[in-house]
Amino acid sequence: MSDQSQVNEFLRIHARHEARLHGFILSLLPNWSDAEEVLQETATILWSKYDSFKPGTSYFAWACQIARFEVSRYLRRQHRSRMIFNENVLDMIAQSSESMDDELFARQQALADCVEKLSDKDRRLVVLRYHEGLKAEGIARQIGRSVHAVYKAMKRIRRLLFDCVSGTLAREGFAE
Amino acid sequence: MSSQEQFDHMDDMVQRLLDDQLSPEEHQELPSLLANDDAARRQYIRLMHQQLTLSRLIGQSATDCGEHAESQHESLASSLPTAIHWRKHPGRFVAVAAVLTVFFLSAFFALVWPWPEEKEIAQGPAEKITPTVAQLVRVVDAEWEGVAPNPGEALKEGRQLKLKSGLAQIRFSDGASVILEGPAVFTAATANSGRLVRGSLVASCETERARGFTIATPHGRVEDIGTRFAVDVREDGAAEFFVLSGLVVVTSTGGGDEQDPPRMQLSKGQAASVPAGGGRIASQGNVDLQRLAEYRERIERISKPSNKPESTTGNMGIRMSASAPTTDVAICQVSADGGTPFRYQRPAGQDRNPRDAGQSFLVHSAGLVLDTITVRIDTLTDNSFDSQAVKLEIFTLADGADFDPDRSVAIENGILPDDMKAAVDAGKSYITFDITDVTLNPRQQYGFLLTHKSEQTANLLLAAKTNSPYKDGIGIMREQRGAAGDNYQEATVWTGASAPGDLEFYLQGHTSSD
Repeated sequence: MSDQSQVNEFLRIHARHEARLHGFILSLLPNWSDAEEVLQETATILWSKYDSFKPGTSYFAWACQIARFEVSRYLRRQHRSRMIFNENVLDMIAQSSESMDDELFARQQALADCVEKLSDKDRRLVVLRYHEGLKAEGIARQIGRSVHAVYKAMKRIRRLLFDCVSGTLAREGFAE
Repeated sequence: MSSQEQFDHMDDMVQRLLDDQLSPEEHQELPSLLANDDAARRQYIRLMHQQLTLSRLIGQSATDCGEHAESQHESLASSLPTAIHWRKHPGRFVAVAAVLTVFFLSAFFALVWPWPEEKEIAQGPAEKITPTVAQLVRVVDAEWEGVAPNPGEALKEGRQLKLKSGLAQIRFSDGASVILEGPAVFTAATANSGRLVRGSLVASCETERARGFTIATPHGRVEDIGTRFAVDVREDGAAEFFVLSGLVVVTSTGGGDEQDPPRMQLSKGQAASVPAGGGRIASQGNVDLQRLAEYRERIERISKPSNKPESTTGNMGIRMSASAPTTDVAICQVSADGGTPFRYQRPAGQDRNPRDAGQSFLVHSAGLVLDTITVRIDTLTDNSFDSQAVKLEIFTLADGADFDPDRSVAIENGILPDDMKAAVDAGKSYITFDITDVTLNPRQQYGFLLTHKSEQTANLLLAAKTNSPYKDGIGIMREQRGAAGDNYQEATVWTGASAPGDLEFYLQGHTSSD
């Protein structure tokens, strides 16, 4: 273990990047709980190797490289059926993700605003889904609509949010 | 393809991918699309990030931010909290990314203090949803001010408990557990935080889900990083914090410096206090042994078997033993497979983040009457299952690929042993459920389900149904609780994530005479 200021520094910098790192891992390992497990393992490694991180360089890029390695290690430990992408595809996703760091950060920021802009009805669906963790069936019961209607509405909302985020980025001069 | 169609196509694939519902064609198509089409790959990455950000954003925002919309822009995205947390693993410690104080969050906490008694989630005022965030598990000699809550009762977000005397144990949905000693005023704030206005508590946050568990006091808060700690709050709001094991971060709130409030890390054995009105955190050196003994005694008092929840009844025989059944075993699976037990994702749109393993069993012989079901427990990480009520259900399935129970052929209720954890620790790792004769039909696919009854949703599931290769076996379904809002228990409690191949089940039965 190291001294407290280093712990704090690590926690602070890691916190700033964790959501994107989590997204990075999920895109390589598209399963919620697998991704969470690898995120945790990666955080452990990042902390243990934090001494070797060079301040001034990109933490995200550094973390992605370690996470990329942890994903492979995880996949090797798991049943082969967990493997959806081969190493080549994983590398390509990883490379693209690293190059999209700024954009992804901007998207993450913009999404919070876009959720705010949803109609009350739509936001309620999002909250039921993502906060309450309800299944489509549960949401359907809660709001008195068919399961099919819930699926459709969720799809529309994802699209709405995606477009809203893209619009925000375009206004901020991001080229996609 | 139009941009709308392109979005829809990739969005469909991302959703099905996350739900493990990709068609075989898509299984072929997606990797090659991602390898060869730069634009598609970037779109895929964006959509994955959107899913992830939404789940983290909403999971946090509705509870942490209330109606402070104006502060959300900055705080939500950037304060998606993170931390390092120490998790006990068989034989090793693992640091885990977890909820923790981020720069923005500290400032932000000062803003929302004091928490309103009932908070509104972002939605129309007419239809307020108040989620269940905790459960009153056990009480000892408890006297309450006002209407007494019952053991087993679900506690909604913002529910305040006024304990005049005695002990009360509250378990939060995210896994943390608090033992409150009266006189105390305590609010179950979120699935992973509480507010102690007055009184004393001991908190245990030893599961992975409970990382970042936070207790706020009037002028300071303590955030666990995988630990047991105690908090005492005096009448005037001054608070003392003690660490019994692990690591916590204490933050002084309301002391003026909202950007960078005083913070202190405490490790095992250390104590600190925050004065009335907030301000400087004073180190108190080490927890004195007298106090430590008091807290230990409290934990033991409430853990005694005589304090089982009063509201439960059951008559299914349940016993623990050190060895597997050898007589009259009709169907069994002693996994020598060594691989990962099969897992399946719930169908699209259902709870995210489930990690399930499940198997069903196929009955070959005619006239089989089932007498017992025995399951080997790999590990029990804590004693929260001791004396808890369970329901065992056996149901039919259309075939080995069927997910939905068709018809229950038996439902039995029982109470888990008082000393379940101790028994498992002592090597009695087989738990046997006696069931009243259930006649099974030949060539019929069945599944069974064990549900931990005392929670608000079915959350402890053993053995379900499957579309796996193990069509003839009987197996276990384990579920891991997802991010905020899910109601699934840790999988590792029953099966041990570290050794997922070691599933053992035994069905004992006899052949009916006719």
